[in-house]
Amino acid sequence: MLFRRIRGMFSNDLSIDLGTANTLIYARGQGIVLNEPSVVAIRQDRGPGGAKSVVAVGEDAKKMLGRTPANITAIRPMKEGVIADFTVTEKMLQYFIHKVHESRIIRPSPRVLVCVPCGSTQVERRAIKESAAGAGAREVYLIEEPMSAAIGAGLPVDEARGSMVLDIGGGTSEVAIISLNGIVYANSVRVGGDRFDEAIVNYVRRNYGTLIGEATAERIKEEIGSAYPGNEVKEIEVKGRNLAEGIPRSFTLNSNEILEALQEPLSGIVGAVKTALEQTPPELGADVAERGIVLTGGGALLKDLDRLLQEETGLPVIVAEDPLTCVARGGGRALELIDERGGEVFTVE
Amino acid sequence: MTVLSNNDPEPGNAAEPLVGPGARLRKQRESLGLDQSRVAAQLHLSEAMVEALEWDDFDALPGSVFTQGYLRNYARLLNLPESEILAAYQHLVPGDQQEHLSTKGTVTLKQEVRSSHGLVRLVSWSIALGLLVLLYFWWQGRFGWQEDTLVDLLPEVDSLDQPLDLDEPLAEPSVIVQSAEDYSSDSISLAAEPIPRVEFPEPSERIPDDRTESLPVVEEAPVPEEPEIAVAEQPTVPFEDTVQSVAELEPVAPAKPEASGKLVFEFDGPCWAEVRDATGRARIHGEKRAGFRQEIDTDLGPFKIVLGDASVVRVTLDGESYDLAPHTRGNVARFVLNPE
Repeated sequence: MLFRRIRGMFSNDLSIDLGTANTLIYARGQGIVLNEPSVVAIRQDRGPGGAKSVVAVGEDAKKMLGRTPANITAIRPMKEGVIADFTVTEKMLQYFIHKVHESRIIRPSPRVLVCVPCGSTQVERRAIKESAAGAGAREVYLIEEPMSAAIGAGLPVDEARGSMVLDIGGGTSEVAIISLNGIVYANSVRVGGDRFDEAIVNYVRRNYGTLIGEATAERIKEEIGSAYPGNEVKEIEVKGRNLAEGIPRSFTLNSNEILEALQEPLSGIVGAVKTALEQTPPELGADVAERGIVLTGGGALLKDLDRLLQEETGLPVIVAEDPLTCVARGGGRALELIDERGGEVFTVE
Repeated sequence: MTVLSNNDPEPGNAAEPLVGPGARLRKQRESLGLDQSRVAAQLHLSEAMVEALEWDDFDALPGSVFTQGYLRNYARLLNLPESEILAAYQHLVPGDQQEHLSTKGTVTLKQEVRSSHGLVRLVSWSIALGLLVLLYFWWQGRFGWQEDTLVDLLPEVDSLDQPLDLDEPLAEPSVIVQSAEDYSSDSISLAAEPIPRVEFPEPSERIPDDRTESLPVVEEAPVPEEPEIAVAEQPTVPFEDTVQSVAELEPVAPAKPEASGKLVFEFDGPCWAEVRDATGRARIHGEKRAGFRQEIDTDLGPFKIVLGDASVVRVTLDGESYDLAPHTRGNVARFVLNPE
């Protein structure tokens, strides 16, 4: 225990946004030090019960997704914001924590704050906590993602005014209303960037009879995806396996088609926001109506998503600065506030 | 748009440093023929807020985060580059407000202690240096000890030995110092013993030299010691007697080298050994088996001796067994043997 404390002196406090799609690490006093996909490639030795070993983690492992031979599997240990594979998550965290302390001789033992979806169960939170402790953390704090996102976006969370934040991650979207350092209302829907990709894959299969991979779907989403009909129509050429012929074919998709494909997951998010507004106490609702909704998370980068929400809710919607890193940055600030005011401010068990 | 293209970095900043984003938004809105109410409806903001945006009246707006968001939305609505509008805003309102909002109450951050920290480095270097110094002293203490003890003993040996030119082994001086009686009896016994070995030609050649050297020294023999000898056993013995007794010992000195002059190593078991003479030449080197025996002339001394397993080696100096125990640590004996 004492040794851990000494090692801790040589480690940075870390705030980890353990996301379904990407893991971000914010080191206190340094900023975002790591942003890598939450993917781990594992090799299984031959024979029954063969030893498993980690081949690659992060960016390298993501390149292997869908391109692995039989004895290697590239997996995403997080699903819908929570741990799907405990051991692999622990290994991944261990790798990332070591990576941000690369130059150190002494094995790091940092204080770690991990963001958890507000809809996660006790068991899921416990799993995340244990996983971080297993990866070498000295102390583990948990914070609810929307709170962290709001702090990261720079919202005045400590004021007696309602602030509404919508964090669209890879696996979940969280909507919350925050006032006086606390969450007044929070809701989590299991719709996020991954569901957008899935929707695109399904759309292409249904309408073009062609199968495309998730990585291709993600590229399509990033390049021509939009949530609201715009003035210009963008096109992209993609390649996939034609289901009827069984041969890879190339074809062209346009932004309107993608908009159509994304309708279903988008309506899930809009529905969650509308429900939140309905459930909000009137005073706080008025504050939100006056100032608007703040979008954070990677999903906020989908073109015209703010426009869609604006039209659907009739409220001003703004995208936070650098939405992808909001949660991790907010966690970093929360760590500072914990030091100042004691551990009970934001953390949840 | 023309305004944008003309906006060179240097003159633009110098000429209109206080022009905020509002003026450009207003100009653009007017050129597009839009009125404020329509913009307010599209942005879902109140008209007052749009007006505040256009007149750079940021105090009337909720906060930096929201203001920047509204400006971005407004710029996009008017097809203005968002980054330029935001840059103009940040130029006008240096990013203190945002910090103020988000880290309200954060006073000073506790300084992290890192391995790259100057003080930490200094402390670790000084610890390392301290350890090295300690190691040096330990090394000195361990290996310098034997030399020191030898050096301490040698003057005493010299004081008695040199005048008599006794080729006594190192262990014996302690015996000599004890009393005159012991000394004389020892030397007499030595005198008795060596005689049979007189046939060695070389030492006999040296006898006259030794004698000539030793004789004057006998006279110079330290006076305080002689009375001591006298007081101890024969208080009434005159000084001449002691001189005589020393003179009696004279034959012993020449006999000594003849009788001895051999350092003998006998191995009862396998043992790694190294014996180097005064010139540094190895007389014995390497692992020797049981039964190995080697004689070395003591003239070549002092010897530096290392015996890997002292328990299986018998060392004989001048026919007398030499005790290795004081020099043995573990099994290894490491010492300097000075036969003089």
